[in-house]
Amino acid sequence: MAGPRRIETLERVESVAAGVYTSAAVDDRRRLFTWGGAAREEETSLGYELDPETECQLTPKRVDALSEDRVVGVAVGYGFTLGVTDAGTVFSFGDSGHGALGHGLSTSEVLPRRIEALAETGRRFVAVAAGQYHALALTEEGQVYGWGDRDANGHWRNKRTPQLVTALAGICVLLVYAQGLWVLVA
Amino acid sequence: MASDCQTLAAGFSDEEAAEGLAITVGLRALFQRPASTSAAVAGLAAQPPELLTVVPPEILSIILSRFEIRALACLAATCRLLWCDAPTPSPVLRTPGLVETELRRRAQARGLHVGSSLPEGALSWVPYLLKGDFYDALRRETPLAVGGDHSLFVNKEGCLHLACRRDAIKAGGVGEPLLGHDWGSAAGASTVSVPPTLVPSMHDTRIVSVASGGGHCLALSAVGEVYSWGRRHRRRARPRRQGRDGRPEEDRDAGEG
Repeated sequence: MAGPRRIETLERVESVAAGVYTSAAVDDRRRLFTWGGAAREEETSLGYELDPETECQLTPKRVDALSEDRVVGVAVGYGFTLGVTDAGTVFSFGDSGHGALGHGLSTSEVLPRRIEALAETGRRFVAVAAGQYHALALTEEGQVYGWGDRDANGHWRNKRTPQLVTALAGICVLLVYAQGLWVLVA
Repeated sequence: MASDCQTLAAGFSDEEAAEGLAITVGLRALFQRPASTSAAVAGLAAQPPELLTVVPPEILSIILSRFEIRALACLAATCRLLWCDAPTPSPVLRTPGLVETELRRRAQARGLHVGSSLPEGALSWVPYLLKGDFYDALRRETPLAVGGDHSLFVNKEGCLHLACRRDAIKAGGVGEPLLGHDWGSAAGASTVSVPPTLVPSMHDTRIVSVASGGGHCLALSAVGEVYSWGRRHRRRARPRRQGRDGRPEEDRDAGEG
């Protein structure tokens, strides 16, 4: 019986996230680890180059490109990954086919890339959430930014760059959660 | 009153407990059952928050420092509610009181960035000061997750439960049970939903957070261990590789995703 089995190489983990192809974990030293595969070789959502000889990263591997950052939150969508650092910066990598990376481009990113549109807001971000094709970022003041495709409410449908979710204006949001095609804020 | 005193005395010195009791009495006076709601609001609004400061601020600070963060949050929210209900805006609205000052101290002690001025339009520091602790808990504790054909739940005791369709077991596609359960020969015969069921092998592991991809699951234990199970998701664009002789068993489970 293939029940839950401990991943021995991971210790003192603070948060976990899972997408269709990729899994991610952040430990108490604020290091991001990812493992899994990719829909297509050039669209890895792991944050590093996959060994061309293998189909996937079998064991958790640290995202070395973020070795200078302290990652405090991670979210994994359908072929893309989002993270937020303790400095309030949001980064993304993976498949941008639906604009879920937030970079305004259709190219994919193998390595983590800061989302400039969020940085330009001057706000400090504290949490991220990823749905199937869309993503959310939450500021410390409780504003929500969203981008991506196929959202559930139409407020930011097919937006390749992050936009303030005006439907939530005036509400101090404390939690964002996204799964599949829907979102939850609280 | 004796029981109040005992409650408040938990972890407090006698002097602090006595002062705490005075606060309780003050709060009770503040929250006397009103004749009507509107009268209550008007009455409370007329009561200046100084009622809370009949106790010397130094003693009050000591007492507040012993409060659990959530109790502090409740108290701060109550104060906020009262002040916000005031018919005329008070300078108090813009000035953190003792409770919010304590919240700020806790936030800063945890390395949380706290702005020096309230954002435009905001009435209270409370939501901003609470975030550090709430986020820590929320990031670490995600008690439910939804996968392609299953859901994971963690109950109050940290026990991992799952719900799935009985035929979901076949969706693994690689002959591996999908959800950590061996449903036996009945699997696949029915599409009836299985209610949330305890995962037997995890009954003695306290889980705080779960995550789920399309066909695989992760569970995070209270001591920071990660458990995984489910099916491997094969890349679509390339032919499936055949066999991986000598690949460690641990790797097989860890490499899904």
